[in-house]
Formats: sequence, C-alpha cells, structure tokens
Amino acid sequence: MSKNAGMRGALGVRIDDLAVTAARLPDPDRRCVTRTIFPGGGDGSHHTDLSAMCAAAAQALAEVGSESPGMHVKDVVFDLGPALAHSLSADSRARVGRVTAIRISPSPVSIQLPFASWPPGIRNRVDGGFVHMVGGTDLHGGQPLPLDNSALDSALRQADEAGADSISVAAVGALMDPDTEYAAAEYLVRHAAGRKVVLSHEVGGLRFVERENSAILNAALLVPAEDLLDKLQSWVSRPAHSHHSFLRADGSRVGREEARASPTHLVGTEGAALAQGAAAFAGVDNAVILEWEPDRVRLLTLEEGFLRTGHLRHLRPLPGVQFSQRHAAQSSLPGVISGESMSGDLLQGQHALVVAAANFGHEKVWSTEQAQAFEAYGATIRSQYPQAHLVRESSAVLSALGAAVALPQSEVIRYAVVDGPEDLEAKKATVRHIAQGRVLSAQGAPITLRTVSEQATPVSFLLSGPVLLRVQVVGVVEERE
Amino acid sequence: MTSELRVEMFDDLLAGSQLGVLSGASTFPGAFESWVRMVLAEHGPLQLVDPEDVGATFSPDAQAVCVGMVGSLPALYEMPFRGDEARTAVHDLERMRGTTFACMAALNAAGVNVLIAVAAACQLRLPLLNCDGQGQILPLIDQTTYKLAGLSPAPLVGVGPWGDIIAVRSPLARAETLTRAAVSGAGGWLVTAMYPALVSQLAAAGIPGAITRCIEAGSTLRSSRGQLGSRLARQLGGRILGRGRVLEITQHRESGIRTRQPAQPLSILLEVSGSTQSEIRLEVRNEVVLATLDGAVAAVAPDVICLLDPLRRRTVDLLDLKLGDVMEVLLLPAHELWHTLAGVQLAGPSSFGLPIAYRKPTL
Repeated sequence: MSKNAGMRGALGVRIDDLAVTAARLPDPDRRCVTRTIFPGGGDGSHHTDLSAMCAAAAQALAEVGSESPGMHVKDVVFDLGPALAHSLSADSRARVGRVTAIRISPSPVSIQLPFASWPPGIRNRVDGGFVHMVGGTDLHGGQPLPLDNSALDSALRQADEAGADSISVAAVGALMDPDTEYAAAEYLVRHAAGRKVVLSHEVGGLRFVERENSAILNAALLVPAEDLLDKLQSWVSRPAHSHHSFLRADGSRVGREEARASPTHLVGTEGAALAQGAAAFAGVDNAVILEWEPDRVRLLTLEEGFLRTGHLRHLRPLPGVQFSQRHAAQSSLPGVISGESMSGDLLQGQHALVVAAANFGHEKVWSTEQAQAFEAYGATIRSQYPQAHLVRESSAVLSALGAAVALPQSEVIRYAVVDGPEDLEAKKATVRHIAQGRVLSAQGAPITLRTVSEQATPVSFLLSGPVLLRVQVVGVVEERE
Repeated sequence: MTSELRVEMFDDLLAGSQLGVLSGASTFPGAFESWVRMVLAEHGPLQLVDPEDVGATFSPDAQAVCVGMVGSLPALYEMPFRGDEARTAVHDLERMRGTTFACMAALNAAGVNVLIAVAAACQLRLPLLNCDGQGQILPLIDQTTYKLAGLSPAPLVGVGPWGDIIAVRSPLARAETLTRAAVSGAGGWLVTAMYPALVSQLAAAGIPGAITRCIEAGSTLRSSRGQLGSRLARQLGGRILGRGRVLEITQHRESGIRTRQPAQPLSILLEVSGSTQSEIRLEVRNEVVLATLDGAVAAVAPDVICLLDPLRRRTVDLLDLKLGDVMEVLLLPAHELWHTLAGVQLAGPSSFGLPIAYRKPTL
C-alpha cells in the first residue's frame, strides 16, 4: 500500500439510485468501517430524490467518522457514477440538459450524425438539434477551408428554438489544433449568455465521432451533475472534511470544479471503483483484478496503484453509442479464466491476483446460487494459483473503498506535427503542463507531481511526421500530520 | 463454392481482421465499425465467390475492381467517413473506363480494408471475391499478388475526407508514388478503387479464401478458450516464436536501404519469459517486419509476425502497448506466392530497408 499511504484517513462514499455506502480504508488491524443507508427503505426500490440521497450520504459519513475515534478524516472521495448514470436511464425522471451540437468537419454527410445512434428514450431528452460547419484540421496540421461564423448564428437560433441548456462543439482535428473549437466557443459565449459550451478536445480523446459523443454527453450531464453537486455541498459540509473530491471512470479523483465541468468523466465508474477497492482491501498496489460475474469475468490491471486505462468505450445506459473518454481498461472475457492461464510471467512478477464478485451482497441480484458459484470459481483459482486473494466483501463497500484510494492523475492526448527534436520536446512540455494543471486542481492536500509516461508515437502510414503525444502525470500525496 | 457473409459473422470478421495488424489496429468497435455492420445488416447477406467458381458465376468478359483505403487509420477515425466514398470511387472508375464492374475484391482482408470492401460490395450490391491481394497487411498498393500477376493498380480513383476525387493514370507504373503523395494533400486517407481487371484475372491473381480465413481466425480469437496463440498457430499453419515481457519501445532512424515505405521505424524489445538471457527484438515499419531471437533472424517479411496478448486474449494495438506487458509472438507463413523470387523482391526484407536475405521459415 505504498502509494496509498497518504490516503490513510480518506473516506469513500458511493451514491447510487438504491443506497449510499460510506467506507473508510482498513486500519492496520485490517478493520474496515462501513455504513450503508437505504433512503428508500431497503426494499430495493429506486430512489431518485437527490436531497434524500445527499442527506443519507451526510449521515453515513457522520456514522463512519464517529466509529473512527482518533482518526482525523482528511478528505472524502465521492463516487457519483451510478447516480449520474441512472439519470440517463429510460425510467429516470431526472432532468438532463438539452444540447445543441455543432459539428465542424469537412462534410455535412457522415456515417453517423450527432444523436443518430442514441437510444430514443435519452435522445428525446437531450437532442437540441445540430448544425454543421465546414472546417477542421487534418492530421498534417492543415486547415483547407476558413470557418464561416454565420453557421454559429444558425446554431444559436437552433439552441433558442430547442430550448437548449448547452452547446457542444466538436471539430475535426481538434486534438491537433484546438483553436477552431476555441474560436467557436469565444463567439458562442459572447452571443449566448448563460449557455454553457463544451469543447470536444477538453473532455474526449481519439476518434472524432466518439469524441463528439463525449462532448454531447458531457453537455447533457452538466444539469444533473450541478444539481447533485449543489445538494451534496449543502448537506455534506462538515468542516472536518477538509476536502471533497470525486471519482472518475479511470479510477482517479478530481476536484469539485473539474467535476462540474466534466461530469461525463464521473460516469461508468463501476469497474474502476470495484477493482481499486478490492486491491486496497487485499493490501496490494500491483494486481490483476478479476471481477467475477456468473457468465463472464472482467479483467483489470493495477500498476503501482494506478489502473491501466483505455479511451474508447460504451456506457451501460447508452447502448449503441461509442464514447472516447478515459476509463479503466477492462477486458471482458466470457467463460471461466483458470488460474493456470495467469501463470507467473503474465502476472509480471510483482503482480498479485485479486478476485472479487461484481455484485457481492447486492440486494437485488446476489443469490445463494451466485454465492456458491463464486466460491467454486475462487476455489478453482486458488487451487491453481494459491497466492490469489479472494475478496469476500460487499461490492458496494469495495466500490466506496475504491473511491477512497483514488489518486489525482491526468492523461492528456494531442496530435502534433513536429519539426525536429527540439520542437517535439516543446510540444511535449505544453501537453505536460496541461496534465500537471489538471492534477493540481484535483487534490486539496500537498502533492508531488510525477510524470509517469510521456510518449510520442508516430501516426502510421503518414509521411509528414504527425505524432500522437500522450503524457500521464500523477500526484503522489504527501504525508500530513 | 459460393458462400454468404451474414451480419452474425461480423464480429468474427472484425476480430480476424486484426490478426497481424499492430499500428493500424481497430480493436474497438466504434462508429466506423458499427456503420459497416449496419450496412451489412441492411444490404446483406453478401455473396462471397470463391476464385474457382468465377468461371461458372461470371461471363468471361466481366470486370472486377478492388477497393481499399490508402493512408492512415488514425486519420480515417479523425476525419469522419461520409459513407459514399467507395461507391463514388468505383462509379468514377467505371466512367473513366467506360465499363461496369460485375464484382469486387478486397485489396487485403486485414485491418480496415476488409471492412471497407464489405461495405462497398454491400452498397453497390455486387458479390465479393473470396480472395485478396496481400493475405496480410502490406503498406504499398503495389505490394500485392495482383501486381505479381502483372496487373496494375492504375487507373485508379481515390476519394478523400474533404471530398476531393483524385484520378491516376500512370503508364510508367508510378501509381503508388503518385497516390501516396495525393494522400498527404487529401488529408490523410483516400478510399480507392483500383486494379480494374477481368474478374478471372483478379481471381487468379488473388490469395484464395482470404475472407473466410479471416472470419475463422476471428472466431478463434473471440472464443473463450485459453492457449490462444497455440490454437491460432495450429489453425493457420504457423508457430509461436516466443513469449516475453516488453522491455523497450524505441523510435530510431532508418539505418538500412532507402525505401518507399511510409513508415517511421520502431523497435520493440522483449525479454523472453522463463529466461534472463534471451531477447526477442521486433522491427516495426507500420507492422512488424522482422523478429530476431538473440540477434538471429527468427522471422521476416513477407511472413506475418503477429503480437497477441495472452492475458487479455486479444491482438495488440501499438497505442495500447506498454512496457512490462507480456506478449506472445506468433509467426504465420505468408502465402506461397510471396515465397517466390518475385514475391520476396516485392514484399521481402529489402522492400522494408532490412539488409538481410530472406529465408523461408521453419514451421
């Protein structure tokens, strides 16, 4: 637990549509203090009254805090992913924002137009129309056509007619040159007072259509996220909790302002939270974590306390929609993985093997049959890999723990055309500074910045030298008295 | 034998298309892949015609055309596809030649190009030949068995992301050079209709069974059973070269012969599992073109060197590869057409700037 040493005293709180669970990291005696509260009465019914959920969070925090005498609670990390995801579900009555999408690309014709792949239930609530502008930057850094701002006026009229809460802007090549998106945003902010503008390069990553979907989703989630964060702030305001932060889908934490600005990063945290929590429970920083379900296993990797991440993903509430946003990389493997296939070299020497059940103790789905099947699976793994940690703990508790151990980190991706080694270093430095700024804003405690990877990968099959820059910066929490 | 490609087979096709693809990998089914699936669902099933059935299926003077993307996959993902590129390219080439195509073929049944061929054939409601011109992914449009048989990629028509349409006629066989230059100006990719020829000529020149082999490999890749590398080696007649942990990924300058390859050289060094002494070095020119074991050549182009991730049971995307990852290196022999003298000259070590002689692998 070397990387988590600075997190002693951290509390994790998971808020979903059924229950609120608070948990504090195990103390040296391996005792884990937890509290789960069902605002709806524990009958398994969904509860969408955010005030009640936030009140329950405050109560759970207070009760866990009172059972931790002598341990000062330094900070609280909230996992709002399940609650925000529920606002996207077909049966949710939560309000999501209506979004007018601006696409800046070479052609108005496309294999996928904004909103086209979204399920009708959520599309009807989000779709505030879209406007196409000819423009963008290609991967050689060229901008063949100038922007026509009159299309932005059309977007503003469209937003007025649709009653849009926000506007998303996605430009082709924005990871190469974000100026097109900035220029559009500047115009929109000047002429659309009160409407928020989301830029694709600030919330999403590789692949244009998927990044545009992330920008639209982010714009739609601004409304419920703000509502949730405001209520949480008013209910959970004990001065003892010196700092609040929020779990992201990649297993890292962000500060309140970043959470408000980029709520799409807070959705889909289930895999990361459970994996980090199970590893923390087992007391390991390097692990392959198997999240067991009756018909498949999800495999995640924790390296030096940080989850391995990916960029392209689907979200459970939005089937058929592809997003480009950072999240814990998960390999979903059908059937049973045997311990034999986790032989020593695959576990990379120092890696532990941790097995946890994705729905352990869940009020609605965990059954005796599932418990028996999980035990049988664990026994098989143990017989072949005796060092494996079989974690028998509520998945909600593990997820709350997973939030508690979240560390600040940021990865920024940009394309660049580089002209020699000096230019490459200068462009890397720019990307590094963006990542460092995001890490610093995520953590209230003093931290030491560490650049864990800084890659420049040539873009295949292109002769003009574009590279993909990828810089990952983490914040290591310094010990405090 | 004529068979059908149905939408239920799409996931296998997608998975199989990734075998042997490293830098142009599309392992995540995103918007583009979903679109191809939708086109296949709407217009499929797609008729696949085996080369030996061409005589019974088409008239002797029937014409065929190849489609494929020339350029960069990251550029294609960043500059969104309109969906009509292949159709436009094929129709323009028909107008240029004053003919109508009766069927289509894939430039290669690997990576994104097999998906483009399937979508184009569906949109144009034409059958697809169950063969391809590479049997793997090779960077240049004239590194094909079609070319080995004396066919020319030109005249060709390419359609780019900004809607530019580029036609190339090249009596002196400069189609690759001209098209590659056009890719830069077009914005990073061109969907290209090329190798117009008699159906019988393309079928005879292609590598037979390429599409179905891709689907079968994908089925194995997606199965839940372990020992992925060994099973693929048995199925496809290859062998495992070794397994090891990634120690280094380094870019370097080209040190060998000057080539036409649109590639920035990269090396990947693996420490062989179970040994502290042995190392596998992989040379990457977009894809892996050379594997050495402790300095000795273990495999080289045109044979296919694939990377598999045994932990996650899948192929490897260069952008996801990290130091410390354990990889299995699988050698698959190239089709016998590539083992001829002309084949080795066109797609062997020297074509990638490697100053070594080609030797047929021991399997």
